Amino acid sequence: MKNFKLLGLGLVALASIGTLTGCGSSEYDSKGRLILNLKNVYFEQWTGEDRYTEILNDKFGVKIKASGYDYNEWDGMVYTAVNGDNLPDAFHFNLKAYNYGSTYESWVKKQMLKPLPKDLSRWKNLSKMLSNVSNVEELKKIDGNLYCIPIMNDINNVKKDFSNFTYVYRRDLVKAIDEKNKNKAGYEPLYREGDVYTWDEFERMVDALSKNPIDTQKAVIADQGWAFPSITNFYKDAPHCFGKDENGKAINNFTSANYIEGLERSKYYVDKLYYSPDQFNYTPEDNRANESYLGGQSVILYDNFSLSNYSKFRKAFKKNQETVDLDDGTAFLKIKDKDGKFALEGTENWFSATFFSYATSDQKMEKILDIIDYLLSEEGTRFAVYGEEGYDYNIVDGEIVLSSRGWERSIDTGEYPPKTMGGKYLRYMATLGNDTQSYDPFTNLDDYSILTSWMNEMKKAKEDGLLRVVQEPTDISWMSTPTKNDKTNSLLNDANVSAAKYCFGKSSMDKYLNELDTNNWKTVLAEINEKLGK
Amino acid sequence: MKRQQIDRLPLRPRGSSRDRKIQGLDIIICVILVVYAALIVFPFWSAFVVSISSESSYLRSDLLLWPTELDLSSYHKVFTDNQLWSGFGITMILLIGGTFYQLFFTVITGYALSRNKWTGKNFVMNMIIVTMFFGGGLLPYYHLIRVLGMMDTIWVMIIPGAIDTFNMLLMRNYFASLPAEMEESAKIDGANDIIIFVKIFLPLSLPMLATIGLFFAVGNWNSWYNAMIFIPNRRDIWPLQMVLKTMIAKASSNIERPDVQESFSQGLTMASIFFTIVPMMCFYPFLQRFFVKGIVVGAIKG
Amino acid sequence: MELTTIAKRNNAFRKFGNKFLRSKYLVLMIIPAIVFYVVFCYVPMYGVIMAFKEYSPRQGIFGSPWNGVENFAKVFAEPKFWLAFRNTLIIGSIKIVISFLGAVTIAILLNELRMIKTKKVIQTIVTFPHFLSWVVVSGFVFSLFAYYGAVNSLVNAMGGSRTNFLADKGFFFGMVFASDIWKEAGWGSIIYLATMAGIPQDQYEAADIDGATRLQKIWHITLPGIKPTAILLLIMSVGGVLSAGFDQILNLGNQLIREDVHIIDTYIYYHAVIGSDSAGVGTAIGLFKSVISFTLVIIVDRIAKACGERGII
Repeated sequence: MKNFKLLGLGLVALASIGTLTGCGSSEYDSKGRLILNLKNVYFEQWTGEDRYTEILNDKFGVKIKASGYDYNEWDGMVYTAVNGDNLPDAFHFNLKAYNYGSTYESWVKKQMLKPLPKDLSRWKNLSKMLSNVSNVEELKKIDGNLYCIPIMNDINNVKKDFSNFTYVYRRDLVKAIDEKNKNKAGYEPLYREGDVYTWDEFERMVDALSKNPIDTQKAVIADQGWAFPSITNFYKDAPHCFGKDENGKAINNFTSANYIEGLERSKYYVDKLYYSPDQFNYTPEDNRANESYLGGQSVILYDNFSLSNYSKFRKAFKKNQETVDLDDGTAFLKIKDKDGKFALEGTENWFSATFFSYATSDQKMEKILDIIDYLLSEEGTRFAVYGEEGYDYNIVDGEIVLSSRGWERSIDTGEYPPKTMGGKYLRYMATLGNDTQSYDPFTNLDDYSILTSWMNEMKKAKEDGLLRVVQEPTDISWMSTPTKNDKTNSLLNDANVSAAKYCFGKSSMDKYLNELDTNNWKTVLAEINEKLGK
Repeated sequence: MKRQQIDRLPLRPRGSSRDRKIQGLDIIICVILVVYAALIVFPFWSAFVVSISSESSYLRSDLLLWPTELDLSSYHKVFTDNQLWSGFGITMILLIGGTFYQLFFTVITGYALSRNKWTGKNFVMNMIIVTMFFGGGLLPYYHLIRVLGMMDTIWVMIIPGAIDTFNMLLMRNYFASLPAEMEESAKIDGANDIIIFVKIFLPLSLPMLATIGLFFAVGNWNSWYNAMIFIPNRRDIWPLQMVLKTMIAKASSNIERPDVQESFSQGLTMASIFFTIVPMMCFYPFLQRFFVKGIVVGAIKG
Repeated sequence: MELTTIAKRNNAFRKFGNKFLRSKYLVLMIIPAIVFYVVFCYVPMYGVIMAFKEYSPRQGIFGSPWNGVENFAKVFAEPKFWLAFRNTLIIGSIKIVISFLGAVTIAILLNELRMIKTKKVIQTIVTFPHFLSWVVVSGFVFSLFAYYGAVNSLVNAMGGSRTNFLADKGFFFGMVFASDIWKEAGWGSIIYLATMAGIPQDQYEAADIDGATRLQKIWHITLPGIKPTAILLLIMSVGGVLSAGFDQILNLGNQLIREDVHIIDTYIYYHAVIGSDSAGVGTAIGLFKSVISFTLVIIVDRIAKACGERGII
């Protein structure tokens, strides 16, 4: 009997520990403000504890509790929270066309998400933004409701539909080779004005760079792991798995004639050791290609050069290659393909999205939308970028004047020291803030102007019909079929692996084509073509 | 082994030979071990060099053997992280509280299962073994943690770790391998099971207790997974390793992030490794002495 | 007849009661364990029914609709799963053998080393790789064996030509085993060292009197002394044969060989955790894995018992 008493006692003790420590998950904080739990990958640096957040808390009568995701664990953590039915009020997930069916649609069908109100007229700035989101109609097609706020890259520049995946190169080295050889009879300079090269010119330059290596150099080109073989990106008809033939029928993009041509060229580059034999070991998650360029081990780099990445890259380059002219060392390289066109991978004008848990109350959702809408307004944008009016900045004759109280440059670097500002982070729930970069005190204006001039050049080329934006046909992209939902992701990964294997001589063309003609491929293509009516 | 025999044992360094002379075999053993240790030290050394080198000297060379440009900014960054010390505090709680908590429950369970005479022992034993192979997976466990109210509390890193089956079985085997005569003679003297356990078996088990205590301590010192899954919303109670992991992830992930911060992620990684290992290096030699036979025998004698 | 049966039964009850009372303190000691295992291991076990369900978070594990063996059918129809299964068996079983041999060898060598200071230093050193994560270890492997890595540079300096080690599948498997020994053998030896510390010293003294050599003493005293621990650890590691090292494989792999070296755990990760397969499929694979591991342990345990050793069950 004694033992049973003890058992009971043990259970009671265990249960009481449970109740004692159970955090009060009540709806309101001690000041009676509505608690909002928000999670976003960009909140990593910010804990939701600063005076700017406090200002917003008071303004909206809420208590914002924010936390981030570790980028590497992002997917897993969101899936765990969804499957564990423990979602915060608003959360952030990388919604893409290729996981549309397997995540977005399935979450909606499993009723895990709360749709945005049909009538968004109360939130003018937000609804204006949403009307500019590309393919927003695709997101509504399940039952007419929108179940997320797509996070726009740039709310002012809605037409930009190409990515910044491109090459930068060491222009200084190319010029140096020209300089060395300029007196040789009949020497044709390698360097091309405006950094524009045809494939032949590019190849001649690459060859010259490999024959005149600098002391640290191991290879000429380095691709970030996810991008290898980058050369095919200039040949592709579509960026991912599926393209269309001239009859509008869906085909496997990885076996199209153009892709194979690019693949052969990539293999040639690998064989000639223009790529490092270690290139295959650069995994998609790491930054090794970047490091190899910064260390002078390679001299052409393929990466995603958004302003933040480019700026980070330039800072690191300046630090690690002090003797090289910064602009020459980080110059954009533009390749014209055989039609005389540039080629860039197409993107949506948004990246990832903010979702609301089904359990979020209307009241909470409205508060969150209020906050987002405010931060998208003119006043709110100023709050996000500069801080509090009267404390961090003043408006004098219509001009923003930063106060020394809020903004003081560091004496060593001449830059503003890092500062977390709640408004800025919360704004990332709707936009990546590329619209504010031009006047954000944290932006390095040199980086900004170089990148902008490259983007403007590309935009102009697009208007002139000289830029091929490599887009997946929208009707296929956002299509949902059972096998496609299940398999697209693994088909894409496997295809990239097969391509890498072919380039490194680990398989033959026959084997490559075989690997891209499996039953899964056949089933998916058949399903798509059936839906397309082809 | 009888008690009297233990008492007779002289204090002596461990090893199977009582010869004091160094033989050829000793030299061979020494050489093998030194080579093996060198194979281990080498990567650690190169990691250490990276942690105290500048980014550019790291990027320029394939393998740094010597710091060509000394730069302690990686350590500076680790030590100035504003969450570091709160993480350290939490880890100390886990390390001290958690380790003794786990050791207590694991050892008493192991002892009870090592004694043969109580009813239902086999049933309990089999019930425990089964849990080593069958589990419900993460999701039901996740629900359980929620129901128990341990989500986002420090308890989730301590309470569910009470018994580690693997270590419990080690402990049980160890107790079972100790001679039963001592227990019987104590029984005749009227001692009950708890007294026998505390007075006779525990002192004899110091090497195993030290080993298992070490396993638990290391586990607690290195734990981050539970924090990541079950404490997603409260950074203030994240343990040290989770803080370091986040710090490294922030520095190395190449997500297009709006706030630009350039940093030397490799250096930071290596610096945080040494930050993790050095306390262990200081702590471990103290436990090591329990593995030395002579002292264990001496402890019993005293 | 009846009376004797009742008497017998009463007797049995009394015996049971007496036994129970006599061991009441032991029962007291086991109660926390029972509570613990019931709450944290048995309660969540209902989750295995997810393997037979189409899981939907809103409906919960109980409320989700049944879908029979569909989850299993889906997994078993996938050739990649069987490749992963085969890899797991190969890697897992070789690892058991080598990590056992590695740990025991190091423990014996350390035990035999009589230079106390050197021994302490070496013992400390060999345990430390355990603290490194596989991300870091794979970084070392890369910087050593890459085409422009240290080993190739050395070979090159001595007049040989460079080899692309990391692109080779055979090398990858070798690397998995070597790095496993490097990282874990020293740590694994701790448990054997602790066991060796428990071998009564008088056995060695008796052997000395008989004039045994050191090798003989190792063979006849040290090894038998650690046998129960070794067998326990072996039986338990057989249960882990299907967990062949998730982090290790994930981090040591690269684009060229990743698809060929999947193990079950990486398969689950890519397909059911971050992939598009449902949580039910993940549970199904987990259940399959558990059943096989458990069967293997029972078999090995029976064999051990048949050989006169104490098993674990």
